[in-house]
Amino acid sequence: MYKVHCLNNIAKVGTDRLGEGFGLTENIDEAEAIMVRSASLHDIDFSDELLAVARCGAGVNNIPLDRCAEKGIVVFNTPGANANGVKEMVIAGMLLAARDIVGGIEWVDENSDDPNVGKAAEKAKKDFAGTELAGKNLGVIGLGAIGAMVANAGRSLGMHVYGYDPYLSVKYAWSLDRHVRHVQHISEIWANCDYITIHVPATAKTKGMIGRDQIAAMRDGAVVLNYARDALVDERAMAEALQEGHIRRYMTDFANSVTTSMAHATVTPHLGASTKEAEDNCAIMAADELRDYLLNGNITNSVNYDAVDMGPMEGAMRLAVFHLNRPNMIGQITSIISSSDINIENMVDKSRGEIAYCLLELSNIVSDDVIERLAKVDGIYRVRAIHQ
Amino acid sequence: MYRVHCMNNISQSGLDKLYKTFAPAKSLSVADAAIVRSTNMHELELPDSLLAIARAGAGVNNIPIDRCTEQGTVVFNTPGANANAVKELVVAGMLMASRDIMGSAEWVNDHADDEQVAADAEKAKNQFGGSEIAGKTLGVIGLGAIGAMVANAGRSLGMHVLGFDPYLSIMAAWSLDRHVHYVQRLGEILENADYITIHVPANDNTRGMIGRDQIAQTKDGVVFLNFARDVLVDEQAMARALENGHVRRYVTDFANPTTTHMKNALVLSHLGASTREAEANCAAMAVDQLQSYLLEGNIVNSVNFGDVNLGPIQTDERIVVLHRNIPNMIGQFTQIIAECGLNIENMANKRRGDNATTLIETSGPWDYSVVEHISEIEGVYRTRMVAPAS
Repeated sequence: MYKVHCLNNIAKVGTDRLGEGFGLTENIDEAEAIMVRSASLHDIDFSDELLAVARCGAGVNNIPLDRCAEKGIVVFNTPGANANGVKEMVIAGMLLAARDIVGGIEWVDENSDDPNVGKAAEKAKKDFAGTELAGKNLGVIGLGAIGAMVANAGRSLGMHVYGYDPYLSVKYAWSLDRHVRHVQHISEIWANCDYITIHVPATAKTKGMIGRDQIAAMRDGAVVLNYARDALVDERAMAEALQEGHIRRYMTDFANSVTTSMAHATVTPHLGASTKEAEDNCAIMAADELRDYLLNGNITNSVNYDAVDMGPMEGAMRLAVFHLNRPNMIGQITSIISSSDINIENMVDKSRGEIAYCLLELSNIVSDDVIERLAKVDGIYRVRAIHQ
Repeated sequence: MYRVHCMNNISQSGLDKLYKTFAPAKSLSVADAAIVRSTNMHELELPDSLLAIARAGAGVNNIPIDRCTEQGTVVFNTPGANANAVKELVVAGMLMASRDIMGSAEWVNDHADDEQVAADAEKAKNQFGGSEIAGKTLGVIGLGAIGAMVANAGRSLGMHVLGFDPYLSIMAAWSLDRHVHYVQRLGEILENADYITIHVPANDNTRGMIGRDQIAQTKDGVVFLNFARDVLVDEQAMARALENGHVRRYVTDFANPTTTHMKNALVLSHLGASTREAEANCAAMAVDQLQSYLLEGNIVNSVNFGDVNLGPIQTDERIVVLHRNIPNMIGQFTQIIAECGLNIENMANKRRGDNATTLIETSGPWDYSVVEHISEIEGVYRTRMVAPAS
């Protein structure tokens, strides 16, 4: 029985999903796994029992990844679980940018006591009129789980869609509407698009990727949407472009001292994933990832270890060996196992940086002695036996 | 060349199209046709030469329809030209009802000077969170040009869509996504939908069709959207259902003293058709309809005479008769045509209310006396002969 500790309220659909062989515990020190949303783990000492941490969500700033990696604690997140939540926010953002719906509602609120408000609205409404999305060009930068859904939604609303992603995966390429035009140069997005939305992770490479020059290259009257990370956009340059009227509107989910004082910006308080469904999906995905790791040793969507998928367990047992990524490690592991006359049926070894994870499927159950010998090898810092 | 007078500014694309086939008329008094948006024409003198008025838009309250009918002036409007504009507003309405995007943007505005706004937003955002529309059930009442587009949009956003329309047209049926589930009773929509949007015209049958009993049949937490006409909904009953929380939100495009005081209502300032594209579409449609009528006699989207369409003229000439819908009219027309030695190749007759349109396509030598004789028949408003473009 694996014991799971929840550090935040985790949607019940998720904890129920853990299913047979799992139980919840109030005591973090006896837990083999932690499910967490936004609570910080930086000041928590991890017990030797702890095998995995699952973050229900995408960002992992609240988790000490290095410390986890050193101890052989696999950290998971749930990318894509909030994709539809963000996609719907982007559509709303485009529609609210195209017509001043919010201004129209505020006007009605301000005139709610006018007995002839209906007639007055007919005169006032031209101030809130605008344009339609259908027939316009939408540029999507980054075609991962979210970007691909946004691109398809744009198509189905009658937009011409340009997609840019130098790292496009087969999975998302497959999911894309075939009318989405895949552009080779990001400059094609700036030159052609009326609406530009960005869906890439924030890294050293992507930081400020929408800067002064890129904004200058955009069409007059372009709308820019940012539901990814504020650091992707040079917001001072954006503020100037909005002030000059070169950019029609900036729709951003990130409130900060620059965005809140921009002209023609609509700033929401990070609502992209704030839906019940996204929370449920995150919890379900986190539970599935924990279950597959604890029962089978498979790793999907880890942020500190590479993906390993050996499918469901077929042999007598599996050994998970966490080791430093240096020469002759696999040789030592395999020779210790074969010396006990046990056959290795399947093996995968995946490294990420200085650390590596080796998953072995064995024909018979090995003795504790073999496990102890493995654990003593210099460079091996955790050995885990998984029985059927 | 026919002369057309524009009573209001129409979009440049519409004008360009108009003056490809027609000449501008300096005033209404010398015009063969007029294009109008909101100008009130009730007090204006309409010249006998005026064959048609095209309203770029849907409502025709600003046009003296009875007077137009009496002198044989066909009045057109442009239904459906604003369909996409309304559809996009319905989608926005569903999303705004699902998450309090507007309240959250106001929260940020109120905290613009807060140096910790990013951190504070993470705490505040819970109150603005909500749900998604994917996977929910959308009920569309009325599957005309707008309703059909809304139903398809719902499908493509991952919703289950139920459609109700006892008068579904072939064109709309054809345009519908085949996964839209067509229901036989309004009750099926009321009982099953999480979002209900209404797209029917206002008439004696539809007024108040969403009343107390209908609202009572809906799911707890249902969202209603009304971008059609306010009188379709019993708004007092809606106000009570919002007050007691049975209805989650009422999104309406109609501001009046009832809606502006509703709890949990989003009231827009009649923005349904307020887009540049809708205006351009209206103008383009109005021009198309005038062209078709003036050059070929075909009538599409008239509000005072029956719609008839024989396509392009196939024979030597076509006779267009606008007349009262009373017995023995067609018999008299055909008799006169026979007496003038013309053969009838094609004919169509369509009534609208008390009036009707008859198109008769003939072959044989042009004889203008046919027009004169038909015009003399009691109950005929106007007779015209059109020939194929040479």
